[in-house]
Amino acid sequence: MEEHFLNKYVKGKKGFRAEPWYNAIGDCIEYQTVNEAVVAHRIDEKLTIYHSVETNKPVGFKIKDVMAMLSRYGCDGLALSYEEKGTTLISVATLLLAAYEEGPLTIERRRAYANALLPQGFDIPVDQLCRTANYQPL
Amino acid sequence: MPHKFFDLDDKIRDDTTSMGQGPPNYCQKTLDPRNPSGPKIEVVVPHYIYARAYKYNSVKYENIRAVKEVLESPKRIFWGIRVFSEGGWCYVGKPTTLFIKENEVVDFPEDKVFAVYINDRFEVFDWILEYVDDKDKLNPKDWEKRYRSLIWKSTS
Repeated sequence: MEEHFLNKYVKGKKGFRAEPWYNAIGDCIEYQTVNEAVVAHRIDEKLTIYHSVETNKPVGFKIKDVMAMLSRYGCDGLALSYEEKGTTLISVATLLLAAYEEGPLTIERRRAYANALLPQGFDIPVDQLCRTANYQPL
Repeated sequence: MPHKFFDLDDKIRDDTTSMGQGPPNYCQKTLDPRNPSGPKIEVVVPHYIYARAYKYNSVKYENIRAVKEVLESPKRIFWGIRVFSEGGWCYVGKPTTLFIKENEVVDFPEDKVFAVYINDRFEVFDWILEYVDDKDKLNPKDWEKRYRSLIWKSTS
């Protein structure tokens, strides 16, 4: 493969970091958990879920129009921020919940926002829940 | 404010700071979405965007090659990409190859298109694969809901 045409204009080590990033030009927060090509699965005007091209599993998300949400609700108004060592941090989870509340309460949206809020591994087998139906309290 | 030109093929320029200094942006000629049959314009991939991809999302960085291909030869151009802000364009195309992992390149998948998102200042701010529309394999899925209008389509 030919060398990347921008390689001479970048410095340091090429790599990957799974952390949320505010893209100021696009006014969106992007988060990707794997260093792979992803496909956009648009949920609504605010949320896009990233699916792995290889496995089709959800591997990240993008929240759009972040400034519009902040100016609409304010950092304090919806407790989107808290102070840590003198820096105000925005809670991405709270932003996601605010975005969720703005749209129709459908099962598809609920699932998609759940995918964005919690990584894989936060699921439990359904039979655990079914067993609780027969649970007899002491 | 005039751009300061750098070396090479006239495509790398600095940011237009008052001192004429700054990290190099990448400029790519493409169709003018306001007048697709007229002279080509330049859109910018800001250094801020591609340098971040290089350090923290290297597969995405590799796929800037696909951004270049799509801008050179778009198949569709859509206008109005956001609900809460006017304007912005999405250029859609079918590049030849795709990095799916670091050092793993495949032919571009038939069931996907590659979308390049550009704001109203002609800055590229994102690029990503999209599922294709059932009726037109060169449109992204649900394009009627996502964009305000299809403003240009290739005839080839």
